[in-house]
Amino acid sequence: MLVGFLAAAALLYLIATVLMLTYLVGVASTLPSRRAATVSLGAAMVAHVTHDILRWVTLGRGPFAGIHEGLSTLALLVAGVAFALRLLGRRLETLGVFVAPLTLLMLLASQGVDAQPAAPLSGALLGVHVGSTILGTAAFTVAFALAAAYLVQEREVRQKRLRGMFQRLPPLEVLDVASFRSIALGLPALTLGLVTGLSAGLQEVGRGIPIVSWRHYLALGVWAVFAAVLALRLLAGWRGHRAAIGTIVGYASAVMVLVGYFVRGARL
Amino acid sequence: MTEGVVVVGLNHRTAPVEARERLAVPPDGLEDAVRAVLALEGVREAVVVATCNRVELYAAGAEAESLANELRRHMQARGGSGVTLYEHRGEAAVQHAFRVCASLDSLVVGEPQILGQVKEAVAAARSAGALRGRLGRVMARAFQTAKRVRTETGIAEGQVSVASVAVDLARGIFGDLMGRKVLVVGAGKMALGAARTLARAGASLLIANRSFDRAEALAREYGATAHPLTDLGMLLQHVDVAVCSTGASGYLLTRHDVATVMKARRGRGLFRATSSPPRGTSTACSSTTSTTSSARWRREGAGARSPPSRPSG
Repeated sequence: MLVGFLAAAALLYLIATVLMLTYLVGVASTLPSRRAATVSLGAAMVAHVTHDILRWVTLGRGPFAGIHEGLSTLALLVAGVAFALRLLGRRLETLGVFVAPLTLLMLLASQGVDAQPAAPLSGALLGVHVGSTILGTAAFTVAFALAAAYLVQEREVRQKRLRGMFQRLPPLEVLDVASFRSIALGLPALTLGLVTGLSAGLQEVGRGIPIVSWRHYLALGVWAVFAAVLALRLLAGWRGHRAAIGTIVGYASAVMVLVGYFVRGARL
Repeated sequence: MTEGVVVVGLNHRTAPVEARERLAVPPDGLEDAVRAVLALEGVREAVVVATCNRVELYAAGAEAESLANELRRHMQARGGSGVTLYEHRGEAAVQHAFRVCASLDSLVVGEPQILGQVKEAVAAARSAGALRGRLGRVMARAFQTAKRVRTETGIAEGQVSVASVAVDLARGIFGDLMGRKVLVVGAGKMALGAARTLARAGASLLIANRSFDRAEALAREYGATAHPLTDLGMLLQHVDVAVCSTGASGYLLTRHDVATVMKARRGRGLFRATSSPPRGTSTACSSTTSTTSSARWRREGAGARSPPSRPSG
């Protein structure tokens, strides 16, 4: 039954992606395509939540039990943000086209990760560490989607294409501000994730467990890039194109960390 | 009627804005420009069409080939060397005139300004004594054709005004223009059109002009505030959109001025749409990167190369 809900969620995320894409590029008629995309995304989330609850109940593995569950929770959180943005207003509704495929990828990736609790950390600190890191990564995923949308819309504006995607994508300033807010939310969460991870790791030193791997250095790099994007925006007026590029670079680093977990599981 | 009619020129598709600037002819210089063409060997009739997006020399004479060569040499000598010039002769030249007048060849297809601009060019040619028959008839037929195209097709429907294109682009950047501060530089015909469109979009207008009286008159009409042109730098620090529609012969802003403005804005976006060549701002500004996002300036550069003000065809 678990597999059934998972497959249904993946299929519905895929349908939502395709519908949003056809809406964005103007292939499908506007209103039915938008409604169907929203319904698909909502249904996918229901199937996804059901799967995660059943897993918790039947296998005793909660949303932050390990990397496997964490990635699935991350996918759900990102989809939730995209869905909320669709419900809240029309300005950011097309964000889903950038977010839905990422959600699908994360959900599929979570299935490829070692489900065993191989992490050397345990207890409450693990929960805080995984939870806040997931929240931070979800916020950065949304910031990445906004930055990507910014670059696409900027190209439309510069080429003076006043139809199609130009009309469906949000204005540049809306994308820029929303991306800034996402990073402003994600950075403290990731900071907390790094600090709790480090604290918990230090507690394990006495037991002879290695606490640092290349993934941790890369995670610090992710933190540094997003901190720089935020600081440069506030102190040097970095906005728009540069901020979008910085966000994409930061997120690419974050993806490398996730790929690291995908390849090696939670092992150091 | 078409024999011996030639057109040589460049437009927004064939030449960069710098080349169009070099060959630009101010509205009050059209008659002199026509006389200069008329003085070329073999030219019996001439019309000079000069807008922000095209400079074209129409001529009629006995020998189309030598006529075309003369026009080409004339344009190259006036700053068009190294620029690809297009050339049409006979029926093709007449068809080109029809396309231009009907706004089929414009940057914004269907925009209505081009017909008025060609009519002004023809009027200048008449008063310079450069239209004696054949070319005059071609132009008259081109005007009739343009009128038919506008009435019998859907070309004039929807988004056709250059000012409204600028408003749409500004919406793509800022979203709603309601309450946004928009500076219109200039108080001429195109500035008037831009002010009207922007006021309709709910923008809060500021108008700066060399002649303060004209700025005040326009400001009264649209509930805007008038400013002298000397305040330009200060005004640019506070507005979201700037539409430059002056016929100024030099740059209103240098790269240094723009850098200063952007430094004061601390990276806040400024969408600038400039019209008639020479563009109100130095080309060097398009690559300014020291004080703000280079993309923002590239975007502004793109804006400067496109929309508004005066001539557009």
